[in-house]
Amino acid sequence: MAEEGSLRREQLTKLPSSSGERRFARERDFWRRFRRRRVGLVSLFVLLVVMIAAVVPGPLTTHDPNVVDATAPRSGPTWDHWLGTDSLGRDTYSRLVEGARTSVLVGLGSLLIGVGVGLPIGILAGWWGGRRDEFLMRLMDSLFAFPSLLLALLIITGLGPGLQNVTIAIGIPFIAVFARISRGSTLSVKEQEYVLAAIAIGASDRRIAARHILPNTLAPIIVQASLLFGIAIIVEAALSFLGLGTLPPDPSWGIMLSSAQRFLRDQPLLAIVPGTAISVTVLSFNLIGDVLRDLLDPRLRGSD
Amino acid sequence: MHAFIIRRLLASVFVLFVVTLVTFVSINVLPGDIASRILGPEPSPTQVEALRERLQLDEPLIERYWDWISGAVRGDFGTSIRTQQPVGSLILDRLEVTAELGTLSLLLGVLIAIPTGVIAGSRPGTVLDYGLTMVAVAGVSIPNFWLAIVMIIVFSVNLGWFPALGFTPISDGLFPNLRSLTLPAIAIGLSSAGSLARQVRGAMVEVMRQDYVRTARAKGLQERVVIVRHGLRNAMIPVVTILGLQMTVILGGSIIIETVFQLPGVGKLLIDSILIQEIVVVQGVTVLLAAAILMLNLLVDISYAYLDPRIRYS
Amino acid sequence: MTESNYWLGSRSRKLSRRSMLRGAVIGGAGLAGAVLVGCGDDDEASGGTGTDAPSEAVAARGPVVTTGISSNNFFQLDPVTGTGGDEHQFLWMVYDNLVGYDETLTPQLSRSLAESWETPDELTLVFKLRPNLKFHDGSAVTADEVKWHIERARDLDIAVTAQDIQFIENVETVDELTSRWTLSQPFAPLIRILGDRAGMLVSRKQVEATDEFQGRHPTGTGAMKFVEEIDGDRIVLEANNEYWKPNAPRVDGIVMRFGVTPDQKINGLLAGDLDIIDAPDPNQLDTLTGAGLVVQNIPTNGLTRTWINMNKDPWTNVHLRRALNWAVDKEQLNDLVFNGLNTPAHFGFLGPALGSDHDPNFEGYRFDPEKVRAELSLAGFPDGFEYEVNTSSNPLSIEKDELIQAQYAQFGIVRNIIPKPSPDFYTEFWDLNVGSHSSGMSVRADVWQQIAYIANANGFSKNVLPGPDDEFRIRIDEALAKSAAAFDPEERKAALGELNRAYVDAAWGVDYLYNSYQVAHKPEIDYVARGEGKFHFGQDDIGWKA
Repeated sequence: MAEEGSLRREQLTKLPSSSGERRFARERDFWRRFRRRRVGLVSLFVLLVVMIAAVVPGPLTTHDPNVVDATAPRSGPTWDHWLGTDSLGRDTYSRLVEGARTSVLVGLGSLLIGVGVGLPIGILAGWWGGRRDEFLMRLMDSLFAFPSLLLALLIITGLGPGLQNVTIAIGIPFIAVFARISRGSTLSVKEQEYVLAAIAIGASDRRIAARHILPNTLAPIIVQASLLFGIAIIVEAALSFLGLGTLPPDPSWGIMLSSAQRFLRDQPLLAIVPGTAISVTVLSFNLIGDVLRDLLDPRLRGSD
Repeated sequence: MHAFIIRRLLASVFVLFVVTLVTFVSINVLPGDIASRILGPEPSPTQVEALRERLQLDEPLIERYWDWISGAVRGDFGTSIRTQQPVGSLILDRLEVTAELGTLSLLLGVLIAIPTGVIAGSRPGTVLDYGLTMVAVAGVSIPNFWLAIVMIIVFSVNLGWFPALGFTPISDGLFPNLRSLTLPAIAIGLSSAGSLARQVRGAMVEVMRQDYVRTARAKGLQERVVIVRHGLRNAMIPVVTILGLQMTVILGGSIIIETVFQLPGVGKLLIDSILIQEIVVVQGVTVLLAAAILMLNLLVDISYAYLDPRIRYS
Repeated sequence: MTESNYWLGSRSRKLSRRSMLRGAVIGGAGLAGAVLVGCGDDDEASGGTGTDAPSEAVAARGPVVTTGISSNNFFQLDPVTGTGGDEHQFLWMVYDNLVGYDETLTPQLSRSLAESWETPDELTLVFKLRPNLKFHDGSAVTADEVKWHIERARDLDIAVTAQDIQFIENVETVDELTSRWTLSQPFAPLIRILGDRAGMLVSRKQVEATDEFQGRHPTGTGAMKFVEEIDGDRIVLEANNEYWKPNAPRVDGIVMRFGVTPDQKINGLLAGDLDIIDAPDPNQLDTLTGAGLVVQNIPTNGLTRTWINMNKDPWTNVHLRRALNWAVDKEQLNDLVFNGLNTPAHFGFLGPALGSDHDPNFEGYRFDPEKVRAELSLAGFPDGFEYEVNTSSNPLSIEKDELIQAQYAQFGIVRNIIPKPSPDFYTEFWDLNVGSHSSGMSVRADVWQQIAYIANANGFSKNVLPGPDDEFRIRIDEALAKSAAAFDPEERKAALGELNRAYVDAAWGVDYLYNSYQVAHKPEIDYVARGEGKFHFGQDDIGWKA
């Protein structure tokens, strides 16, 4: 949520105007140069761990994350409970691992909504131009006119809490972001000679979109997605903090954080664990996003 | 340019209309209404009915929306059911807190971000750059409400330097006023500083690669002079415009931070009104926020044209 | 009628009318004594702050007390039209009751605007007002004002008090200070009910002049006068210098901050921004005492319970409702979530905090896995079932419900928790959109009011209770009527016991715990926490120590 202004600025200032050939050349040595960025590699490693925890938490957990142990509420770290337990004696470490799934699901789901709806809107608007473009983009502007936490709040009030609704609430503001990016790419590609040529030889719109427009939009979307993933995690935590997040007993980092808040004075570990998980994951997404942007956006090259 | 501004203003009106519609609909899909919400957890059905009648909540939805929008066009944003005050003055009463908090946060953000971004951006690829960029990204990655809570425990509860909650208006003295806003401003300002610093760095990296900077260096000018006179000055063009957009971030941040610190600002008014479904107030605040954001966007685009002669709007 | 009368006596003692009058005299003497002693006390306490004491009647006072409450605002500042549970804390400061009660919820003449009251028969009440009482706007409190007030509280369309005093048929002004009431049927809880909203005298002059139903210019006779309300921030009150009670108020004013969460309360008290708080997180009390603050803990009859819409499937089935009641391990809930401070609700709605109305031998629901399985089989769900329950989205509440959820899971009962911010979690229940909600039931002046709210389908709660043909409905209604007409304490206790039996047999919801109520404050504050589970800063209730 704290990021949307700068995101929007990115769209406005850093849309790649590169041609397909230049992109191809860049992609060829992308991995070679990515490997040279240690920050990127470390972030990638962190995110891999989070993803694995989200997909197959079972082998990583030591306890059933929802099982109450009345004999050991709020214990510190022990051999049995590596990161201690919460007020109901549930294993913090196992809940942390399970909580990754919520964060990843919310992040992926909201991006899916954002890209799934925003990308076609942007491409169509850019391709059509004229009044329809104007109308669609003004609609997107109205999504931008809300601070994104506010929009998510309004949607959640309407839909009620829960993983699915939280995902929708976070994803809707993303639609506008991706619509703008893809519209920008479409506009720049539309005027390229090879596209004009393709139109001239009678290539179908669908083919042009698939062969020329989509590939060109990919890079900025990937960059943006990695930044927004982090934002989705933070907004989920904020909604949980306001009591509008996902549903218990399934652990989410946001819920763990908000319920640990009252023990901050005496058992800070309870809050430090989910707080760190959120911050480190979001940090990794942001750093990866930065690396990707540096690598994919020629204008900032040279800083690596 | 004038045509461009007029067109954008017209577009903004359309956008505002959509905003009111979205708000109105999302709040009204909820079952129940303000009558049952303001009567507490153990209400009497007869009383709910009576109140509903007094508040004229039985009118159809469309009619109520029409009443509201036709009033809003004339500058009358309705009357709060809860306080029986006009919504406009209700918001105005809360504006002092939010405006002051916003200004302080922005100031703090800029004071941190510009040196950080300039230093990092003038030496791209160095350890210093990595370190500062890392700190800036970390600033963005820590949820601001979380930072706020930790600061309350450390600086209010343990050290007693700042109040843990509440706002002291400036009329009660500048020092107590600033004291009550310091922690909230840091909570918002730090995350704002993080994203701002990254933008400044980016602009700086780009400027420092330009030919005139190379020329200046070649002339044997001191590095500090090069950075300040050539780098910073030109890097500020995009940064100034980013400042406008930072206000969106700060307004968004104030929604949650005002709640954490119990500050009677616009953001808290909004959350409280959402929770009791006071539609007129939610509408009023949302429109105000949206209008402010649209205006800032427009100003940003215009300032682009003034600051960067290469951009022309038609 | 009997000489020993629930209307006149305190809960624990039988008082004849004569001894009641004697009590009043003694009370008067005690009051006079208190003035002398109090003066001495306060002179010490106040030090140099006595400068603004305008007359010799008002003793020197301590400075303004700041506190925080969880409500974001008070919708109504008028006792007759408002309902918000937090509003009482404001009302008690600005308004005095015709009959006031003390910290054990026992009516006390010394706390009442009435100088005395008599009951010539079960359908008649005669009140004599204290002389020279004045509202904050200067208008006099007379029997005419009482008549106007009672009729407004009974007849106004949005009056929350209407149900409470519906049996008052006629109010007659005998002379300037004497008001004679006629009831349509015997109603024993009435005197205590007058200690609630219905008995708070409102200035007729003010209401007629402003003609607003929200009472934004609250004007009573109370120890505190309303100064201003800053929406979403605070409400400010100042001492009433013309207060009728000698040596009161004992503070210059009260500031109540709005919208303060339990966590903010603790932080605010620790940081010194607040002087006194209540209902903090029960697990944080050690932190407070460790910091040198005073914590008071009062057992109450407030309930932590789940409300059930008994007209909605599957709750029409009594065996299912009973299964839920047997399946809660109340001790574990109390220990894990509430730091052991509450009391497991093993006695229906009559908890130990009620004193003589409580029966320690009453058998309510206790955790019993065998009975859970038996009831589930009777209900036709031997392997359990699934349902949704709304709860408040504050962390303590969610934790409570997560534990109950885990306890139910072993019986195959899947309890899906939907946390919603206040007020959504309960409005959805009253609007019939969700079958149950997990919250509580607040303390009322008379426990009869509390159970009447939960179980009386005539007025409150009518939408969620079974219709008139239901066997439990019939039993409960009969018992309610019987206890309402019981003036003799023994008779009342028996009738309430019968009502409680019917209530428990019907499994009219699930009761978990009798709540305790905590108040924490700076050691300099002089205040006794009260059983109603709310701040009571009226009269001379709060002050500063030396």
